[in-house]
Amino acid sequence: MNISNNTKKSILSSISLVLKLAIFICLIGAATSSRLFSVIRYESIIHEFDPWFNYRATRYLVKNGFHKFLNWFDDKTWYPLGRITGGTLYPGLMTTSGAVWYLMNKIMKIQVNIRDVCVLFAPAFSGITAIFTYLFTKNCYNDDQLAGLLSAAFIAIAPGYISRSVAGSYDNEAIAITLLMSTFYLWIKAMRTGSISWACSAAISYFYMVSAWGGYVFITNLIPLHVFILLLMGRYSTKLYSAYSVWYCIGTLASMQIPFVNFQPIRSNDHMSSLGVFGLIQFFMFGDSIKSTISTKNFKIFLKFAVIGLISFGILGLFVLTYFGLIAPWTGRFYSLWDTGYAKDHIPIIASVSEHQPTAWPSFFFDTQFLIWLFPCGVFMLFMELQDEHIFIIAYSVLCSYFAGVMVRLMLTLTPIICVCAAVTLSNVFKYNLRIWSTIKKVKNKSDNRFTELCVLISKLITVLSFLGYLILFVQHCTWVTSNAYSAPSVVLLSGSTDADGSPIFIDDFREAYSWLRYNTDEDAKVAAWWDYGYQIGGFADRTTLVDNNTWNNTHIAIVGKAMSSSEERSYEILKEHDVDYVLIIFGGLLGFNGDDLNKFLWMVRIPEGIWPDEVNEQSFFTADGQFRVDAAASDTMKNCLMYKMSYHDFPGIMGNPTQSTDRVRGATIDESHVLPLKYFEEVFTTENWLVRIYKLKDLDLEGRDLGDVYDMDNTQTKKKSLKKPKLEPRIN
Amino acid sequence: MTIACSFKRFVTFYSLFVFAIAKSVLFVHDLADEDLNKYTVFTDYLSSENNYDVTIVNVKNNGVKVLSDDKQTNLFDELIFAPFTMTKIKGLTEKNIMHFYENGGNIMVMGSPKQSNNNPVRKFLNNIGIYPSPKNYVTKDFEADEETTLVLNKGELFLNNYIFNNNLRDKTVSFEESSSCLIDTNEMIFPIIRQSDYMKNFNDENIWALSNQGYLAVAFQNLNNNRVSWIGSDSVFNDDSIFEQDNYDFIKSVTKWTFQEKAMLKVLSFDHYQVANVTSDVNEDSNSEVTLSFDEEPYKVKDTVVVDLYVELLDDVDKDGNEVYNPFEADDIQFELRMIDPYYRINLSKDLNDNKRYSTGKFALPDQFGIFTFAIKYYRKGLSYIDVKDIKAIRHFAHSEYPRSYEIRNSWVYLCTVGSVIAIWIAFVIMFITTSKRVRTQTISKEKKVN
Repeated sequence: MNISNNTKKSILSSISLVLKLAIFICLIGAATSSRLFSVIRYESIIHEFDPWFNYRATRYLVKNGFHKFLNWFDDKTWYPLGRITGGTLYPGLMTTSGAVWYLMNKIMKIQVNIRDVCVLFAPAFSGITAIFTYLFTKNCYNDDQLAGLLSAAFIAIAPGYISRSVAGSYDNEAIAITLLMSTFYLWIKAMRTGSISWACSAAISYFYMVSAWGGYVFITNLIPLHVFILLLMGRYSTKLYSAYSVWYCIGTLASMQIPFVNFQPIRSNDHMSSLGVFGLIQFFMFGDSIKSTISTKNFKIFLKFAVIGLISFGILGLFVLTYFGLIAPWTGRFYSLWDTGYAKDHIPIIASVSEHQPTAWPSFFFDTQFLIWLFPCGVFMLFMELQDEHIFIIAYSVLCSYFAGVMVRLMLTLTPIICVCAAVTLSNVFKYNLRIWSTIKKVKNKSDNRFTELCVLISKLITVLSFLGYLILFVQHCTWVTSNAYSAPSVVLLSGSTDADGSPIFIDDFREAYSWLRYNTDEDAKVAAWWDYGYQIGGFADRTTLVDNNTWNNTHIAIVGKAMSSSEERSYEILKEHDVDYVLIIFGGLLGFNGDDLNKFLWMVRIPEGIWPDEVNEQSFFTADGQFRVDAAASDTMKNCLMYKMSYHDFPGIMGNPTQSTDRVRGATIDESHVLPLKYFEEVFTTENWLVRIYKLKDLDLEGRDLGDVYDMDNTQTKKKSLKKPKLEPRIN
Repeated sequence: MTIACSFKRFVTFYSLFVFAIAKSVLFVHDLADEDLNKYTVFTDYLSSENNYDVTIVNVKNNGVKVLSDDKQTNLFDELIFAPFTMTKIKGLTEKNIMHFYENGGNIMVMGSPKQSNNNPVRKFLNNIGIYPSPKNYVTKDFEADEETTLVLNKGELFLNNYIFNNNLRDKTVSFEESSSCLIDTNEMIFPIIRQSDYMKNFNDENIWALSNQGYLAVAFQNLNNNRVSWIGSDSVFNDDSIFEQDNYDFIKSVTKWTFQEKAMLKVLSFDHYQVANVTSDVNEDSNSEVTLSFDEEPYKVKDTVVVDLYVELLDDVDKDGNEVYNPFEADDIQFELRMIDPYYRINLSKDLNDNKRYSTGKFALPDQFGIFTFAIKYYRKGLSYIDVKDIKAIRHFAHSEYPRSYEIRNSWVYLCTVGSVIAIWIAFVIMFITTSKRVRTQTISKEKKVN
């Protein structure tokens, strides 16, 4: 047995390589497969709202090529304004999936439908995220492979990330988290080595991120913050200088190539910190070289003046530039990050999005389970060592913890750092406690402190076993959450009850309505619906919409809101002005579906109220004692508004009692006498469970009469009119 | 009645193959036979001179049926109502008349002071904004010797030259025992003759229409260009007075107008296209223009486009059913380019070479992208309506359609700056490298790290 040490080592290293490979394959498998619940439970379908737009855009890209996609003027949305879609989207997601599709169909000759590429896009990228998380953690934390592997395993199955990346949720975030991790990994690499090539890679990765998600601003602020803290701590080095300068210059120039970003990096306040830090680091470099040539005493004086001058110059500059409008003020979403009440008062459209609500605390546990309490431990451990790259993780976790508390959707960006920190903690726990074999050996050796060793062994065993238990529970929790909470496509609903043969019953009203629109209306018909359904109408039904989830034009949304909340006569006028043919509403009263239009109705009042306070008044929709009611006590304005009439049209009487029905969402009794007849609109379609109702605007009366009068004339009993002289207005021939 | 119906169907069916379809006209009345005989000239005019297929029905006994059972199709093309003295008529309700009208039929109504108050024809007229005077209200002319005979010879009383041409103001029409009507402000009502300032429609103390408030003949045209006419007195149709003055001419004109045989504008085509400049390859100075339709090249902002309307006017239909078209003369047809609000309104001018063509001439699209409506709406009293529109998107400039930076003179200064900075930087680097002292470096061999 002449195995030298070296051979032993090389065998071990190749075994560890094989093991690592196996682990990664398992990780990717776990990450991908747990995201396929939605396909198994439901079907291979694009989920929710935004993904429908992305999917539609991708189809356009695949059909028309990149050049046309870049200059795409979409005349099917925001009628009649239209949207320069090519210039107002982040093309990263579509181009990536388009490239994947092209690669498979045209180069590898595998026939794949673009829809399948889109559906399976997010699961595929989650595996890559896991690999980058491994690299990031390893590089950030003392090349600790165990921490890296643990973090990769966590991110692969953490519900916080899965919530946005199940099969079918074809959204920007699906690719953005991967790019977030890759950019951070490359930045850490660049910062540690000071290498221009790593910094360039970081910049390119950043560019990719910019092309994919508006959340790139987070990176634009986090990296400068990291550098700024390092500078404050006096950790300036040439490595840092070269890494940051290269990253900033190339990254910013590259990001400006995205048409939607345009000149924002040098004009918007959101990006100013990175520019400021770039300037600051130049001064540090300058100061550094001055320091090496002049005496310490002189340098101190120089420093004093320089700092005061710089700060006052910076603040003054910011004010002056903002005042003259050269740099844009902060956006509404930015303000609402600091003041959670801001949006509700000033920009109702932002507050109306459920994703922008503050997070409820249980959702932290729901999304990350036991990682959430390992997270602070990890941060603490990093504090103990406090190397340059540790500061990055600390800055990231502090910043993101706050943001995640303010906006639900930012839970997504917090999840990776929770995984990393928890992995650091666990790796430390395991590093010490997993050395059981040596402890056993020590116990076997009849040494003096055998009892202590035994105690140590037992405590190690308990720790390891309990953490193993936690890990098992974590996996179970993740699987449960994924399959039960995050796999619903929201286009198809599960009714909860089952068929006679035990198979689940699906509620497919949305698609029923959209396909009705698709097959029964003119190709250029215009459909008015609340903006939530804009993308779906465009994607499923291929019809022109007035407003959609892009929400770029508040006034246009307010117009639809005004139409929904005005009296029928006024609504008809507004909608006719915009050439609308059909109005689509969501009504959950029969089914008990909470997210219906009547529950969103107050937003349809608040948004137009912000623009036309004289015409729409929120108070008039409440009862005298300030309640929002839909039953007998509802205010007259409420009963007369279009949304109310459309929701409850023909509703009383369908549940047995001929004159009354109960609204199952609001628990209100709707009596026949509350529901006024529709005079200007006619019902054309209502889905099986009444979830979607479609109304058509009646044509103008051929004889030029008011449609309300025509209705009254047709529906009142013709009494013997005594012939009185009509009261007529004077006429000019 | 049923025989007439089936016969009419047969004729319609047969004529599809043989001649142009003769128009079927239903004359509905509740008159006694001797009264009906007064209308021979008029019915002769309809059946012989115009070659209509005239059916005369007395509603007194069996009522009348004007619609198919599902109310979707009309059994006759046109309706003429003699004044009714009955109130309830079997098969003829206000709604049925409205259905008939909206299905595409035209209706001519004779008024009379003898007419009953609650008959369906009156209700139908009230519904569209025409209020004939009630029973026993007679219009009298206080200027004339015989007050109930209205001799209408003043030019200003005739209000619509498309319906009854009195351009020269030399026509005279006389009404006897006439009723008048009031009309509401609906723009689709076209007055034909108004009362003179000295006329009054009244019954004892009750006044219905005083001087120029009241109208003796009015017409109505709905959005489908179907027409209704109401003439205040049935006397003009009677054999006794039909040849008096210009009565016959008046009746003919109104009948032709009502049955859509005159004053119908026919839009032959409405189109718009882009006029693009093409620089020929051979000679760069010579530009030639090509026209491109929207399908060939979707519009973008600032494109030069032309909107054309080809229109002609139906002036008459002769006995054999041949339509006589004439060029239409107008200088007030307006094109509108709108996106919620109008962006342009351009008057169309007539092409000197093609008398059917009206054109905007070349104009540039606005510098605003969006989905625009190209529309011409021409509603004139007496003429059929023109309402044509086309909704088309006007796209923005693609990124490659802006002029390149070096084509813009103003940018040259910036380009020079950029170029010089780059050049100076390269020069600096070269100079820095070549002039700095060489630093001797020693390579220190490092042991290869093993994992």
